[in-house]
Amino acid sequence: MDSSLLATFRHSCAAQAARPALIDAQGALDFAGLGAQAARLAAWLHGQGLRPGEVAGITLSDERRHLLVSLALLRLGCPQVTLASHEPAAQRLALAERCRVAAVIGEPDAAAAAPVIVPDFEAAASLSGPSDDGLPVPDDDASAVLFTGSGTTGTFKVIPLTHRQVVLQARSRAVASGTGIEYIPSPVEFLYPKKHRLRSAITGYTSLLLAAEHSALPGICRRYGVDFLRLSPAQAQSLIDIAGNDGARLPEGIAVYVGGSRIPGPLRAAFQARQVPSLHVEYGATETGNIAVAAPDMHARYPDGVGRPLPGVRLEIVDDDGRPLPPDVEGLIRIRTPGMARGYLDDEALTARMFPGGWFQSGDRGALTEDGVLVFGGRADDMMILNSINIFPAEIEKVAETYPGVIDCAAFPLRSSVHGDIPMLAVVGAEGCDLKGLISYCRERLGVRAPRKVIGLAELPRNPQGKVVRRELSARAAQGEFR
Amino acid sequence: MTASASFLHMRGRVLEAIAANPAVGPSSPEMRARMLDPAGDCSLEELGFDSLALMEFCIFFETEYGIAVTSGEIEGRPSINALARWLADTAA
Repeated sequence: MDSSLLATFRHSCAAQAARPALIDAQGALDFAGLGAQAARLAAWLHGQGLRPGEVAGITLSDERRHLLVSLALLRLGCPQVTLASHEPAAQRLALAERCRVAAVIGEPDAAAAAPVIVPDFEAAASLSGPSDDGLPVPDDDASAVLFTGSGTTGTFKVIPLTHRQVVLQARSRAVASGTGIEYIPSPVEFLYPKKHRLRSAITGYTSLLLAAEHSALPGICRRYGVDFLRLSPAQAQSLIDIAGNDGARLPEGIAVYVGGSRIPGPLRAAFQARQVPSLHVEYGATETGNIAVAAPDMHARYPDGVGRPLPGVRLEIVDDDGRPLPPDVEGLIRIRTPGMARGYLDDEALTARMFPGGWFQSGDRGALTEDGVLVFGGRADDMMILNSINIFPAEIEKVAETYPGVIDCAAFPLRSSVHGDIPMLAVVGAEGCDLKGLISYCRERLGVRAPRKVIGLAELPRNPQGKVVRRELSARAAQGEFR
Repeated sequence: MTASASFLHMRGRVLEAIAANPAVGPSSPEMRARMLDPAGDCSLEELGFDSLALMEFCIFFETEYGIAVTSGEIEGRPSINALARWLADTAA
């Protein structure tokens, strides 16, 4: 059987032809329609001069349009990168340059780094529209998507995935085989919803695309018969808070997935008691796809467990020198999956560090129990996770250091039961350094990854080797010293 | 603090959290006057709150005042006065 991305998507479109692929406020678009519109849009984009192999940026916040463009680019064989509308323009420009974007698909925007193609969705939707028959089929090993994330060294990392890797990650996802309606109440221009919506479209799941307040989520899940609800930890917490209100309980039979960071035991217990028991905790990475999933009956026994590795996943716990450790001993987690990335774009040093010997070793720590359950232990480095967004201190510090009057600085997390890690910044400033202005300076350059508070200090706490002790700053923040 | 002093205190904090976020705020002098007047009120919706702004509002309360609130809790009290009243009751 042809298992290429395109063949898999076409198979889904044929097998599920009359089932909705996307449901939004406009109504439903069935799989037959999705396949046909994406194909015509691919041909239309080709007609605009976009050629297979050229990198395309997408700046579209409309859910349906973003997904149609995304699928069209996969068909055309153009690697795609999201240049999110919510990011500062400077960041979009830098990212477009890094990824060598040839054209941006989106609304007209003066700040775009490349020629803008405003997609004509009417042409794509019309039955007499262009056809993709003449377009070559992309190679399995051609680049399909460039996902981006925060990097340890302060510059963002770009994760290229090939067509083959995208489809393997889509297939290995921890969802029972078959069909169903998936709902991820977060915008498509964020990494987590984007990758899952693509996986769903390729493998024949229905994506519900509705923006809603937390209080409306249970009603929406009931009305549309949602099968899979994927939440960030903060969204899960909000659903716990409102569970006592009228109509604020999720329907029985829904499967809830929470991932993106460490999910504390008390949050799991509260969700199961006050919302629904069917809570799954997922563990995965953009580099590898899903790795493990903890089933609803596992949380009581393993409050920090993220489940057994999925079929096809090899997972080991090793010491700092790469030697495997016995069960129940915490060490570094390393992983191999069939659809894993091979490295980062234009960053050999980071690739060598994160992919030693063909494994993916993210810096997450954990232990495997005797019966094969992965228990998450934390991070080996200083990465912060704000809701589902990964932020490395170096990324913030690099920006802050370019601000007038900053002599020394250190980013660190305020640990929050609601948001995970709230990034803060301690600054040693020259006389007259405007710390208030520094917050908006960071905000303009870092968007959601900016520090939420800047604290002026006479000096930073350092250990005898001169390394900043972020833990001490976090402890002082937790005591309320920096309010 | 008396109940009304505590309400005014929290109302001031809510206004600070709104002022700290450049993405939200009153869109007319009339709305600004209503926002600043404790006898008036202003809904979060008309101030331009979306899910990202709600998250920033919660983060501000946690970093500035050490009060952990969630977006879900705020959605149930979607105006300046409703929020201030609830925060005053919770803190009491």
